[in-house]
Parts: sequence; structure tokens; C-alpha cells
Amino acid sequence: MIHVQDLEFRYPAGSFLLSIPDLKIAAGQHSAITGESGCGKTTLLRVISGMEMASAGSVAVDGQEISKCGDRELRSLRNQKIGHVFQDFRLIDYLSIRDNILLPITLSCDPVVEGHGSWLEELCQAIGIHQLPNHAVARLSRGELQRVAVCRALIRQPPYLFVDEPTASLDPENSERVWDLLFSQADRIGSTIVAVTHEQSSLERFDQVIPFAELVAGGKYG
Amino acid sequence: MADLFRLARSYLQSRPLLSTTLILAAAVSIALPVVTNHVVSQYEKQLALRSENPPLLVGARGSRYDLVLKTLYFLGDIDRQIVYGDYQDLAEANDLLCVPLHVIHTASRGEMPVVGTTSEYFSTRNIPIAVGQPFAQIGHCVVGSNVGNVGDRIKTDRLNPFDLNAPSSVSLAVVGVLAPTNSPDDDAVFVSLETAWLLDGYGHGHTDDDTGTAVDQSSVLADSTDGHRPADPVTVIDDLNRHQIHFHGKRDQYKLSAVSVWPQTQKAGVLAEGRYLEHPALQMLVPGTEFQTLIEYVFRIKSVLDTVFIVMLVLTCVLITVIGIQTVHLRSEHLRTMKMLGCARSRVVSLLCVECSLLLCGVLVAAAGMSLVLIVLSPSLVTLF
Repeated sequence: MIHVQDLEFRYPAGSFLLSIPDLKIAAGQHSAITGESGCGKTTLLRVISGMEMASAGSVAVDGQEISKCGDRELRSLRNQKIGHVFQDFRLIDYLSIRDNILLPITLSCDPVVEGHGSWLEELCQAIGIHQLPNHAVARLSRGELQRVAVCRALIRQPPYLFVDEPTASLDPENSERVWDLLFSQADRIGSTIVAVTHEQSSLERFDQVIPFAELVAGGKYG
Repeated sequence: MADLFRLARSYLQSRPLLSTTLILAAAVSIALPVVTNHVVSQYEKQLALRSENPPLLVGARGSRYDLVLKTLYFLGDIDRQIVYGDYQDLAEANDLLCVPLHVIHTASRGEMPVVGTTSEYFSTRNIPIAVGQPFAQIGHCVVGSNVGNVGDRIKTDRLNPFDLNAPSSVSLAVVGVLAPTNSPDDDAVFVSLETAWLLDGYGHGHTDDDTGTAVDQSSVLADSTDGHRPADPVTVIDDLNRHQIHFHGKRDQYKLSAVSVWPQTQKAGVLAEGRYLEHPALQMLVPGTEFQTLIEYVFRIKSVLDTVFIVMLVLTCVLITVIGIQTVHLRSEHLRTMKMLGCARSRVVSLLCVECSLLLCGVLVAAAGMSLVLIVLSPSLVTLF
């Protein structure tokens, strides 16, 4: 479970204040967070994953209190418990498809790649690139890039998938393919999707939809 | 580790121009001083080796460096010559082994010195004749290993091609080839003193009916009473016309360039040096001492070069550091992504270290390769001059 309580976060140089009274996301409960651009949805995901430190309140992921973790523990949390899919893909352009997908393992504290070989093969087949794992990502289309990014997020089989507007720059057909891939693989490994999205057509896939404005206003979810 | 190596290699291969430029810049900064030091040290060894033999040298008073360079390396010119009588005076001493040197003429348009001497030149320097025999007759020559083969003919150069009164070129027959020595001797033509004096114009060959004309004032025989200039001198000496060769003037006045001296005892050497200390026309010097002074000049230049190389190396290091910092800055997005994916800080640092190590290996390999090629291509001291 992800539990956020009386969270307050303010950027050092800005006047923006993120204030979340209460939010619970249970394991297995795919949740979508919706709201206007710039309201703080992405910031919320960054605070929960430890990329930003809350100035007040409590954030716990499966019982692990984020504010009590050091840099090493936070990196370990993001590496093993949370898979990230970003709006701008964030693939390393000079690495191959295979190396991009395996990056969370290769550069982790326990870089044991051998055990993930069959899972990697399945993921590559699922996104339709099983014959091209050593190709450079620079040759891929935007839809293919995002599917590779999804595979990278899934490679560790994390309990949670943080997905930040993954289809913002994709056409409807590729958007469908990305959502299909996310949900099919997440259900397969028992991962919970927490997504920030504007896409109305995808909201029906989620178990709960959290309007951000209501969340900030004190609405209870989870 | 293999994974880090693969990731690091991927990054360097994706930036081929940057990687290659960095590697080459650093490699040149390392290779140049290495090669310079090696080549200078080789030249120093060659100079030192050549200067050990002979221990003493007698020549006309004048520039000591010119005398040493001309007689040991066949380079440059000396203003004044000595005469055969000076050699005879020296050779009278039983405890001095003296070898005369006549280094005035050349062959092959100045590329090959023609050295008039005796067979002791080879024995004192331990230079065996690899093929053929020593020069025994006028018109014969023994050549260095780079010059030619037995049976070849070598034509000497005229001292002054524009002076019609100057002695004619002579075609010499190669009768022997020396073993390689990796010294100036490899490119020299060795003849007897008589052949050298023939080239000077002290002697010539002609038929009996060729009385010729009077010698010119510029001739070496201008002061002799019996000198003359044949109309049709022998220029290709063979067994059929060798008997026609004869000399005019006084032999003890025939020119020499210097005399190499090997004292049989230390006392003999000291006495000989003392004899020429105040001599008005001649000087005796120790070639090793003169070369040491020359080497010191070379090393002064080298120390300036070393300073330049150090500055170049420092600037290259600064440049590489700046490029490295810029690169990390440009890769900040990649590094941020790795942080967001939870990549361990130590592993990311290791990755950057592996990239630097690969570059360093590239630098070392390139520097070693460059140094090897430059050292192999660098000319020997002999060909340098």
C-alpha cells in the first residue's frame, strides 16, 4: 500500500505548495490521477518515489517511511519497488534496446542479469521487438520508444508502476497499444499502476480515478 | 563488470569524433616527449661511440668542432689542411699508432665522402671487410655497406665543376665492401692516400706523347718545378693504364686533413698532447671531449623542448578536464534518468570510471603506436646530416 498523510511540499525557489491531506492506494488497485496541467500531479509521484523530499507529513510505500530513508535506500526503493514510465520516455539514446531495458538491473546494487533473461525475452516479444534487441533506440518510432520504456519499468517486476502521461505524445493507435501492454503485464506480475493521465478513453481501465483537485481539498481515496 | 564495459563502450562509440580527438590529443602529448627523449638518447650514444675512437686527433689549428665533425663524421669543411710531412713526424714515435686521413673529395654529387687513408683505419676501428679485398692499387676503393658492391665503379666529383683547370673526375673500381657499422663509414668510399692525391692533382696518368701544358696557379702543383697538366689524363684507371700514373712535387707537402692517433701508453699520449699544446700550426685534441661539449649543446636545446612538452601536456590535461566536465554536464539528463530509475550511485560512478579507463587505454595504445612508428621512421644520426 501507498499511504500519504498530511503531505506538504514546496519547491525551494517557488511559491507552489503541494498539500495532500490523505491518500491511500492499495496493492492491486490500479489508480489514475487526473487534473489540470501544472496542478502538481507529477510532483506528487516524485515525492512518493523519493525524488523530492516532503517538508511535512508522511509518505509510506509498503510500510517504508520515505522521510526516514537516505539516498541509498531511496534509490533502492525506486529500483526495486517502483517502475517508472515517463512522458518523455527518458531512454538513453546511445544504448541498445536491450541495454535500455536492462539498465535498472545493470546499474543496481545487485546487477544479476542472468535470472531476468526469460522475462526480458517475454517482454521483447510482447512489444514486438524480439528480433531487434541489439538495435539502437534512435531508430525506433515514438510508439516503439514508449513500449521499450514500459519494458524497462517492468523488468524488475516491481510492485508499483508510476506512469506519468505515457501516451501524451502518441497517436490513438499507439496509445492503445501502450495501455494494453501496461495493464496486461502489470496484471501478469501483480503490479499496481499509479498513473497520471488526461486521456479520458483510458480511465475506464482503472479501479479508481482520483481527481487531483478533490484530493487536495481533502477528498479521501483508497 | 562486462556490462559496465559494454555500456561504456557504447557511449564512446556513439561519440566517435570526441573520443578520437581526446585520445589523439593526449597520445600526441605523451608520444612527442617520449620519442624526442629516445631519439636524442640514441643520437647521444651514436655520437659518444664514434667519439671514443680515435682517442687523439691531430689537425691544423682552427675550429676544433669542424675538425672533429669533418674527420669523424665526414661533415662540413675545415679551413686548413695539414701535410703528409706532419704525419711522418708523428709516425716516427714508436709508441704512437698513427692513421692519416684525407677527407677532401666526394662522389655521387657530394653524398659519399671519399676518404684517403691506410688499411689501419679498418683494423683500429674493428671494421672487417665483408666482401672482397682491401684497396691495394691506385684506382681501387673499398666502400661502406650502403654504397655498392664489388665490381661496381664509382665516379668521384670534381672539386669545382666550373674550373676547367681542376683535376678531372676519376672512375674508381670497387674491390671490397665493409661490414655494416651503423656509422658514417657505411656511406663512405675508402681509397689509398695515393688515389686521394691523384684526385687532388698531385699525380695523373697519360701517354708518353702527351706533354700537356703548364699548371694553373690554382693547381696544387703551382709551386713545384716539375708539374704539368696533361691534355688527356687517365680518368678510368685499369690494369692497362695504371703504369701511366705518376706524381709530381714533394710528397711530404701533399695534403692531409688530419691524423688519428692511438697512443700505446698513457705516457705516450700525454707527451704527444704536450708537444702540440703550443704548436703554431697544428693542434691535438681529444674527440671525446669535443663531442661532450657538442652533446651539452644538444641537451640544452632538448631541455627547452622538454619545457615546451610539459606546457603542452599541462594544457592538454586542462583541455581534457574541461571537456570531461562539459561532457558530464551534457549528460546530466542521462544521469538524472539513472537516478530516477534507482541506479546505485556507486554503479553510476563505476560506469564513468570505466569510460575514463577505456579512454586511458586508448591513449596508451595510441601513444605507444605513435612512439613506435616515429622511432622507426626517425632518421639515424648519419642520414640526418
